[in-house]
Amino acid sequence: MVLVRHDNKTALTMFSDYQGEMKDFALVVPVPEVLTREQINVADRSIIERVDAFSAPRLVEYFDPNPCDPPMVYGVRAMKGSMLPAAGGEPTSNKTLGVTIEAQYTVGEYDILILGAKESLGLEKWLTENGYKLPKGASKAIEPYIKQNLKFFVAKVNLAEQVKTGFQYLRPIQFAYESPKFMLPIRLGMVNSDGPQDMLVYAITKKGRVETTNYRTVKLPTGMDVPLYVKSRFSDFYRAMFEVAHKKENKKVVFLEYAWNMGWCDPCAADPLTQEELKKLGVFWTEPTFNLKSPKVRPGIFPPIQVQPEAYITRLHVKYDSENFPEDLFFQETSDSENFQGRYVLRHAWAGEMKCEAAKGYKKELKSRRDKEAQVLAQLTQWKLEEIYKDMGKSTEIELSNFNESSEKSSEKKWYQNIFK
Amino acid sequence: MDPRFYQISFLASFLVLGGVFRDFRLGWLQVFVVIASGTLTQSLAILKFRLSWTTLRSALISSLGLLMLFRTQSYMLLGAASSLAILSKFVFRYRGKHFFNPTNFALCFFLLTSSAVWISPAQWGEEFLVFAWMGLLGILVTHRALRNDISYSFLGWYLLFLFIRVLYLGQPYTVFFHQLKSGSLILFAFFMISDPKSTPDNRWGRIVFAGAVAALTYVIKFQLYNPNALVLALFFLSPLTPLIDKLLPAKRFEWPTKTGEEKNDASNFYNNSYSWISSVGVLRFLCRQSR
Repeated sequence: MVLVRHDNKTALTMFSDYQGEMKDFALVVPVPEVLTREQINVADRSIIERVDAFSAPRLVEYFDPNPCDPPMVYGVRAMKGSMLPAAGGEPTSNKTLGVTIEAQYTVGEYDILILGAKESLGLEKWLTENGYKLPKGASKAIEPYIKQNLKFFVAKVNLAEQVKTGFQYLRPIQFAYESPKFMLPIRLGMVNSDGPQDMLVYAITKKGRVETTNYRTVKLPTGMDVPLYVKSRFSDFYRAMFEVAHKKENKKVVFLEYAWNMGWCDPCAADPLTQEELKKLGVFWTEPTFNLKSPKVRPGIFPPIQVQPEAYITRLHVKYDSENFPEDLFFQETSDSENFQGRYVLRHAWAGEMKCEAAKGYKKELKSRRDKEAQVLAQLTQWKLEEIYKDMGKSTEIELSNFNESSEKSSEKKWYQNIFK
Repeated sequence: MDPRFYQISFLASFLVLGGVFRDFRLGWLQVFVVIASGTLTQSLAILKFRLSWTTLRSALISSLGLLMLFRTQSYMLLGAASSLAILSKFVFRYRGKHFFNPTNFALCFFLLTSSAVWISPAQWGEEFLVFAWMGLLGILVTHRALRNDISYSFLGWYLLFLFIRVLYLGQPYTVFFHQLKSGSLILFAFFMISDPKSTPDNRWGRIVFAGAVAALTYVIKFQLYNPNALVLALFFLSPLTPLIDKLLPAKRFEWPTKTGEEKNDASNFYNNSYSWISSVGVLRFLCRQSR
């Protein structure tokens, strides 16, 4: 979900990793008003991938300097984390019983209905009669929305139109509306899913960080040094760490994974979104401002000033189930513009030659550093310490052997070094 | 013993809880700015109006309350809010009694006038232990200050409205319990609306007042969708206190101090019109700064 919001205006982009048959796909979302055709759009999937890439938790690699050299600043490299599936789609259908079709459109590959209903059983029956497979308990979940005078945005795939698009997947649906409610209706989606659902919310606002007002928003653990091998297993690491943090908070909280001004990033997992990309996501306040803080402003006699619209992105990750999330998610925009990112640090040991007294201390420090990293990893992911050491084993040995070689007087290998390997 | 000692130690315990187990991001500098600004303002008032030094306890309570609720990135605003909380006691008075809860006044004043301030209503989460800890200490402190009637009646009214809403909308009952367990609600009921100095003196007056605050909270939260409904409702209705006191008069509350020297602590304030004008001046200056 991408939620773009300013004042009472909201632009919502919905994308799900729907895996089933296209003909079975349906989406029901309560909306505050009858949407006109101009308020609905179909976007490219790539735009969601861009937001995800920009805000994903990341690995940062630092390279130790030669302990024998005077201190120096070294380069930083960033790597983007793996993309997580967004929210699951919801099933539905179409026809009678206190139900009114307020509007009907075909947008891209979707047939869209805006329904008004007087009572939930009527809507449930109408949807079932029209070929939407509704899970048990659907009317119970629908009822509160009808009582609050909400309309229902119902989307189905128009197969003929879908073929024309030439895509093997469904593109994200977007719609824009005006309402004082800053919320996401998650309760309907719980009806048709067995287990907990995983959802990423990318909120883009003008001023600052977005947080939930009826569930605690908690920062994802960040900034730890982790063993080098995490680089090759970053997705596993991230998933395990999220799971541990989620359980630790009794499955009742929303996690903050990223909060940053869109104008720049440090380190960048991907380039910041351009003004055009932001507009595609529904950022409607396009008047750009001069962003002097941006590191892209290069020094020079006439430094080019980067022009960016004011946009602040908050990435929230929530794993919700019916029991622990009895209410929809309500949000507020705060004026907190402090940056936050989920980042994990890899520290490479100095691999070159070292000929000095300080090298001895460095070796000792390296050993204890690796131990600490293993313990941190075990704590974060609840992976077993022995397994971590086993996985770490190789890289650490190589590091230490490098060290041994270089700390010897000569850089030539001894005859016995190759025998016992 | 002065119930304010309980209140100070309980509020401090919540603050430590928030700082250690919840990411309140409270730095020492913030704590210092708020407490220093609050106690300094109170000290000046003490010197000026020859009040008892025991009133510093009240100032400390206001500061601790702000530290828990008031969120901003600006130290200047933090200091200004803490000072304004104290000043409000001397500006908004009727017949020698202030009618705004100082913390609530400063909080709402800046929430409504500045875009750089926010409250995190969900900051405590809905853990049972937090709920129980706050509730228990809250009952203890309001019992000591003889103001548990307003806490109970507020909670009674508000929970009744919530319950009717859940029934009407056909939501699962877990929604009700989810809303009930909010740490912010408990904190508000036992540590803000229960302020004996700024609420009506008459018990029935307090029960009616609590009902009005509960009803307005409901409207602000569920009709206007403002997440800061609790504090805003109290803020908008506080000016009713003098009216309720007039209609339903009762003995004025005084903090039980050893010597009783705090009685009528600031009753001679209005005789000094110069101070009144200067306070308004400071207020207007703060208004401008916060924009």
